[in-house]
Amino acid sequence: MRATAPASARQAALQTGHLRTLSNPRRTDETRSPNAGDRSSHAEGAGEHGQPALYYEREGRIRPAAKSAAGYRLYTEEGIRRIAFIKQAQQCGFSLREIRALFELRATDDACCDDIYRVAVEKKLRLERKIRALAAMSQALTRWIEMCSRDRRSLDACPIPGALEAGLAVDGRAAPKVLQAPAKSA
Amino acid sequence: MKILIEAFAAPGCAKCARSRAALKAVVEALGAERFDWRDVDVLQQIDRAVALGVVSPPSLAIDGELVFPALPTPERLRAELTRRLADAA
Repeated sequence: MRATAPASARQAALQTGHLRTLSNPRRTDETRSPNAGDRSSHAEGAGEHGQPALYYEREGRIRPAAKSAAGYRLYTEEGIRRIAFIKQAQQCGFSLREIRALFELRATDDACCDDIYRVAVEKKLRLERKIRALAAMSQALTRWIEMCSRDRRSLDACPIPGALEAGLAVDGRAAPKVLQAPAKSA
Repeated sequence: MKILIEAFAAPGCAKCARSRAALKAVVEALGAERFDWRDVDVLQQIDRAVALGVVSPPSLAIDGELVFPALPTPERLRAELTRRLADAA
């Protein structure tokens, strides 16, 4: 902790540990090694590649309360909570656009639990749909893998690129001729 | 053969219940015996909901097709059902 007298409220908060970096919410900026990462790395706590925090910062929904001399973004407890909310929502499959809608909903005076419930039900339906699509895709890949002769023939003779070009429905309903497994060479 | 109508909704949705009542009235006016109306809880029958592409209940499917991803007005439902009845005749 620096020994200098606080010149502003932010500095005061920093010195009393009220402002924190994202990558280690328990550690104040002043106790963090400046060699631990570059500026953008401090957003990593908000999601993949640190983009969500920067995205919402650009949108003005999250603002670092201050930046340290080393360039680290410093957040208030409320800021940390908002970023944790984003991270959790992302892990539940919400896109950044959907999370923005959730923020807007939370900021709406007459919004109620039922509104969030509806969003959650819709999200579950979309996730279930995606899960089934992924399962079907995995099954299709299994079939294609089994079809592949894994020999040294040219790609033209390989069923997998042909299946992809034919736009095979992943649920297996469509079975273009191109998917007929080639006769294996003796 | 009866026309199958599946009304997909999330449980406890008061708005859904009100809209559904108005649509059911249309069905009864056209002849309840000509339709098979089923209320479907999307959470209880999520496989069916997902299979038909329901993502934003309340929704209405007719004969296994998601005709109304959002609940229609009674007038629109009446028009759709009247057309289907005419096609079936």
